[in-house]
Amino acid sequence: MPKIQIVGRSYPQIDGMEKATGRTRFASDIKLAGMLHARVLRSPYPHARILNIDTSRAKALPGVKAVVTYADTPGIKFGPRSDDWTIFADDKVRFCGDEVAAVAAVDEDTAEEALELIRVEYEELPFVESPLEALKPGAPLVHEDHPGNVAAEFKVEAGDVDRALANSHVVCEESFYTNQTYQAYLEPMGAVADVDLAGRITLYAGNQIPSMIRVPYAKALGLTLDQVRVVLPDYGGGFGAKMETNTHLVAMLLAQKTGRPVRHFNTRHDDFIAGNPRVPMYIDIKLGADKEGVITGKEVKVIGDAGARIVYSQIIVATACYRVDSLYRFKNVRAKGITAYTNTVPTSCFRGFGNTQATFVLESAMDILAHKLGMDPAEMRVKNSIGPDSVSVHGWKINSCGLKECVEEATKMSGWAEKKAKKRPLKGIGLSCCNHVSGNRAFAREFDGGAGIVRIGRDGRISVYHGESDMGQGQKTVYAQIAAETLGVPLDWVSVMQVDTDISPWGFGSFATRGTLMGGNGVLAASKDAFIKLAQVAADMMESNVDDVVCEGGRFYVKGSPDKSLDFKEVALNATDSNHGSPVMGTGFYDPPTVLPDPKTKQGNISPAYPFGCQIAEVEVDPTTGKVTVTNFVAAHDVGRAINPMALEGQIQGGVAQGLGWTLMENMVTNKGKVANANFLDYLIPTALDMPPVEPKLIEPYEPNGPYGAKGIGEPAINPTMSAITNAIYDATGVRITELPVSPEKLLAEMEKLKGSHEG
Amino acid sequence: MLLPSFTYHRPGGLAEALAMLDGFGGQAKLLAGGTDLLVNMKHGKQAPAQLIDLDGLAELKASGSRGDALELGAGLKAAAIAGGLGGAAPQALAQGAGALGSPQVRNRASLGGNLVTARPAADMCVPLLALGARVALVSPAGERQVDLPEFFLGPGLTALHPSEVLTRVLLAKPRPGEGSGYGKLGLRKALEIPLVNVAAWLALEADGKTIKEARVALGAAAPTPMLSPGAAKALAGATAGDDAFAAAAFAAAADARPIDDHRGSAEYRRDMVAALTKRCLGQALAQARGN
Ligand SMILES: Cc1cc2nc3c(=O)[nH]c(=O)nc-3n(C[C@H](O)[C@H](O)[C@H](O)COP(=O)(O)OP(=O)(O)OC[C@H]3O[C@@H](n4cnc5c(N)ncnc54)[C@H](O)[C@@H]3O)c2cc1C
Repeated sequence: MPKIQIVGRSYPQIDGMEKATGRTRFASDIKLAGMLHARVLRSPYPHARILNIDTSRAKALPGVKAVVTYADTPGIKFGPRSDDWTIFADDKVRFCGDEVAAVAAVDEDTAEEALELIRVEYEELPFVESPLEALKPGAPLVHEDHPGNVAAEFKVEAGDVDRALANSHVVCEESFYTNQTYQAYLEPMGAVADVDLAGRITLYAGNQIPSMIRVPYAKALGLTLDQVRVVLPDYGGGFGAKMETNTHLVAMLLAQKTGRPVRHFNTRHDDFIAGNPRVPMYIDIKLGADKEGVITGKEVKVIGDAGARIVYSQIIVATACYRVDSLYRFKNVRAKGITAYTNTVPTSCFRGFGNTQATFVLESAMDILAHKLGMDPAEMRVKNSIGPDSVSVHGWKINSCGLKECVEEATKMSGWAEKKAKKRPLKGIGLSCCNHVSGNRAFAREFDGGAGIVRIGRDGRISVYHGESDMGQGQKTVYAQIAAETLGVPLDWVSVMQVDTDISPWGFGSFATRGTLMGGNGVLAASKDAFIKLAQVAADMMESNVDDVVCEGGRFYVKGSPDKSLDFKEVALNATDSNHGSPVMGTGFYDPPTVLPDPKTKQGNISPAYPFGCQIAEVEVDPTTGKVTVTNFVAAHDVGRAINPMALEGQIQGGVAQGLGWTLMENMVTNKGKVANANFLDYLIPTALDMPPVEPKLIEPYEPNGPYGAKGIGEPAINPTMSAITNAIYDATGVRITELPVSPEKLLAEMEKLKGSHEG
Repeated sequence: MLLPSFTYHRPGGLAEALAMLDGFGGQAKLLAGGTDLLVNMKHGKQAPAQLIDLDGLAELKASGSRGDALELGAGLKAAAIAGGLGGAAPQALAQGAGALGSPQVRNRASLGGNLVTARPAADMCVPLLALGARVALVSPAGERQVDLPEFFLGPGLTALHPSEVLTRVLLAKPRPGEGSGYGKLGLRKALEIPLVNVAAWLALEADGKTIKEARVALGAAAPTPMLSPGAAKALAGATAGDDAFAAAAFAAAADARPIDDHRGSAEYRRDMVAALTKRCLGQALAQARGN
């Protein structure tokens, strides 16, 4: 075989130049002939009965083509994983931002003007803002058919937790809270919907699950699956949020009503108040260890806030209950998760999917135990680290695992030992580890995997079709690298095609850090299939055996005689001509060795591969203001074999930036049922100036289930960041952070308390 | 959320701008960088039918000195002021302008716009108050000058009449033995509405130790940027240094009337007024002593 040339090398993203020069047409740039513009009227109340809606004046406004409310929908209840959605509020609104009505008009100004002409009579109802309040007896009910506001419960248990904790040398018992944050992608959610005479809808929407999203949408509109086609334009980020949203359905419904293409994008304000922000969680943990620092048992209780309807919050709460149990060699674990409805914005996926919340909690508790034991927190991680070729407490099969190497490299790079030994006032260093998945069988239920189609045209151009979703993370480039490597051609001969559900394979999409492994394996299988087909033609042309034919740098030759070679393009031309125009088509799929976890025991391998990481933060705390400055950051991640190191480093730096923002400033504040800071002047995300140098390090054990040995990076990049910083704050000040974000005010107050207790 | 419709006017000079303003009789708004006005219009807080763009008026962009006074054109951009105006800008003002928004915002934001918007924590208002600045307001009837404490009436409310243009800011030229400093506390390093901000100015006696006169201005501590009378009193005649600055900080915190909101409690804000007051006075003293 020729040596690997394209996989493992750093390439700028293949569409990077187009994006940097403003040529990319993003989802919100799409304009179709005759297109109308939509706007949604949203509830101003967190909870209210709708007594009457009068749309007559809005309908009479010149330029308005349709005004719709619940009465104009099929009235079918639906949802990605529940049946608690309607496209518009029926008898009552359940959160500030709930969809009440929508307008399609000739331009946005007219649509907006029309909104002001819609009269809605509400009767305000008592509302509930916090999941703890929602679960109390007598709390106002968000959904009458869900007594106690319990949206879902999850339980998992393995081993004997009570005995393990009772026999522990040290136990950490602590309560944590992780707040609500917003994904803050560059482009708000939205879509253009177009309908043909047969009633078939084409939806141009930037979203992470172009195939899956059709299922609930078809149901909501009373259509069959084949009547909903999704085309995936380039789009401005997602971070987990861009899955199902009524924002898309509004465009679809209005397109049906008007027979014209309809564009509907959230304003930034609407995106804040009715997007899919992170699930806030209250997490109580008990974690025990023996004298040597070996973990004995763990118990957690999680209460998560679903908001007013379920997007994916209950799976996120379940994930927070047990995914992190495969980071260390746990034997005794128990978790209970409750997902509660509240009258707030529905919450959903955000990079890390519950494992971020759980990692913050576990890795804070590990730090607490290490200090109780007087043990180096790094050593304690290594001691408990799950190893390669092992099976975790929940039956997850870990093949490759570079966790120990991650800790070793990160501590070396940061000068951990010296800095720990030489304590400097108000300066601190903190460490945190993480694990994650590369695909989650529990989420993709019917089957999991990935598929690809590779077409080689008469001109030799290679087109790769996949069903996942590139939102800027670099998926297209990785797929192009895999195809180019497998076919033996230069990278720029490969185009990675837009996902179009009429053409592309069914893909589950981009979540669960699965794009590189699942989609990549699908593209790899299709590339191999295409190669064999083309190599057969080359073999015939060279009068050789197909098994002896290789391709390198775009030239076919017979093993051993590279000087007598054939141009790949000449072979492609020959192949198509002899097939009377039919291109060489390679198809293939990847069937991961995973199972649906047992519904009772939750045992079962949910992912073909598991990435790991270790991050170390250094901070400085201002003793008069309580302000934390992160001064340095290293992040060592086990990514399997790197396919594109440059893209991986970008993902790591981005994840750390997002985690730093969460730790120090990002916070959606709800006040009297309303998001109080639904704009970027009041909702703060870090700027370039707020970022310390972030030094990434790739740890590359070969993953047998990965394409060319690769695993994923998207979510692990953020999982350990929060606790790395808060553990560093502890090192600097002695203050244990149990609530995110860390406001200077809170930290200062805690520092004063400590001072008081030392002096007193 | 969309910009309401309006008619845009671009006068050739100040006289023409004033005539237009008069002619539209209250229907018009002056537009400088637009970083406040256009944002407000998008949010539906303001909907003027006519916008008169001052951005092209050279008359408003000049800066220079006249005798002991320094005059800054209202059209000067924050970016230029942050750059120091060739050494002419007092330290606290340059720092304030440099802390405003981001590079993009500073390239558009004007001095006059910052003063007329009169946010309680505006980055140029607070230093100018400490520096003892006045503003020149011109109408067809002539010019009047107003001291800043009388100019700021409330959040977004000033003594500017609808027929007037703010043309210049006037302040005393910095002299040896004087110094100023500015501090802003927020959660991030750019694009931040401060939790509190403070500016301080002081002048030393010839002995280089005794404070002749001082002013401490506070932002986000009241509905308008405000001077702390207590701090000024604590400092006048005192020996410059930690004790005097601590007394001034204590007095400033006592004068501050901050609010409680999700960004910070009144109590924390008050403590931070004290902390920043000390820091700014330290900067001012260092400058006054020429280091
Ligand atoms: C993203 C962003 C970040 C920001 N960050 C900060 C910050 O950190 N600190 C801060 O202080 N401000 C900040 N601002 C607010 C704003 O940039 C400043 O207040 C700026 O100085 C306003 O100047 P302008 O020229 O843009 O004013 P405009 O918006 O053009 O005008 C503002 C008001 O002043 C009036 N006006 C303007 N010039 C004159 C004149 N010569 N005579 C009479 N009236 C006049 C206008 O009619 C209008 O009412 C920010 C704004 C944005 C959009």
